[in-house]
Amino acid sequence: MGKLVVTEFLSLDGVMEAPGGEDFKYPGWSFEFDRGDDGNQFKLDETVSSDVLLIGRITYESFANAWPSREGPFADKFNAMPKYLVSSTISDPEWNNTTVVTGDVVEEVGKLKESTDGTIQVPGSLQLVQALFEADLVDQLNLMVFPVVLGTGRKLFGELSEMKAWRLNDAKPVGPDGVIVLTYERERG
Amino acid sequence: MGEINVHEFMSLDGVIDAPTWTFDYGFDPGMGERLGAVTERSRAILLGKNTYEAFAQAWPDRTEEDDPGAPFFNDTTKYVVSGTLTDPAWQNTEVIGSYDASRIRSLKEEVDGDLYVSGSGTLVRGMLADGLVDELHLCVFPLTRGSGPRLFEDGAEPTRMSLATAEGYANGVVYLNYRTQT
Repeated sequence: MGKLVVTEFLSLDGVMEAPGGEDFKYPGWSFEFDRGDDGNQFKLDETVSSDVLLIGRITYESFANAWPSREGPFADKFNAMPKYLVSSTISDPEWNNTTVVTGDVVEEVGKLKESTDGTIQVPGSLQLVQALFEADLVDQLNLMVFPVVLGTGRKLFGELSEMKAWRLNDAKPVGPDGVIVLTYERERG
Repeated sequence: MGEINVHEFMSLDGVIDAPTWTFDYGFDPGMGERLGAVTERSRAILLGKNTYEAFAQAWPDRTEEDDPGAPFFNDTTKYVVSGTLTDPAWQNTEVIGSYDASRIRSLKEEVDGDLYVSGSGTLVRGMLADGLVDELHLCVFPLTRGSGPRLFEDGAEPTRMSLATAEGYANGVVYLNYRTQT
């Protein structure tokens, strides 16, 4: 049974849209802040310890544009690892080792968790993540929170039908600019 | 010239409604110290009408033995932003009328010390939009509520802040202190 880890860059007002670029009022807003060596290390450890990448279409397009041409520990890991893309429009993904997931997303992700021995990382991918929250398929949340209110943009936490409890694993500042890392595990009654 | 310190109990998904959902987590002494430092330097309390009404129900009957915060809440002057409230029953309460940024600005001048704000979502959103808040003291509880009024709504004033403190407690609450001016 795999562990599903959602990882997000968030503004203080919970916006997760386009932290690293793309078409947005504040493209790449997270780059305004230095997350420091400890922040980099956190992201690297998180990535290296992941076995499978599960992503939505918008995040896939952003990643598939960026990573294949890069080298280094992040790029090597992302490029090599198995990737599952949830999309009804892309059928022939170009990025190495990518499988398209179609059909009922909750059911399919449930099966992926069953068949995965290790960690499934879900970065960005808002629509997918909100469906996973609602279906209670998220086991861990890794949030890197930046000290800025954006006031506009898509937010990670939408309306959910149920209250859910989480267990705090860690809360720490990283780097010199007031970025923090919060990690939580889902606490199921 | 006082500063405005806003304290909120907030869920992980940013909800700040009446925090009855915080009771299960208890009150970590570390968080008590952080919030105590804020109330200690505050010489006035500024509240919206709903939070005033909730506080005016809860605090007047409590003594220091019941809750170490009781003297602060009962004895300190409370300014309430409301266009409808008259004859407030809670001691040391002054109603300052509907929300008016210039009135709050002059209150910051008048009060010899900081102003403490708790809850009061509508008031706080107004003051954030008008650049009147100096510090945020957010106690983030480890649960997602799923719905309810958020501290930051769409259209919030874009603001870069600086982090003063971030610490987690054994009960899973995270205390975050931000200054709104960098």
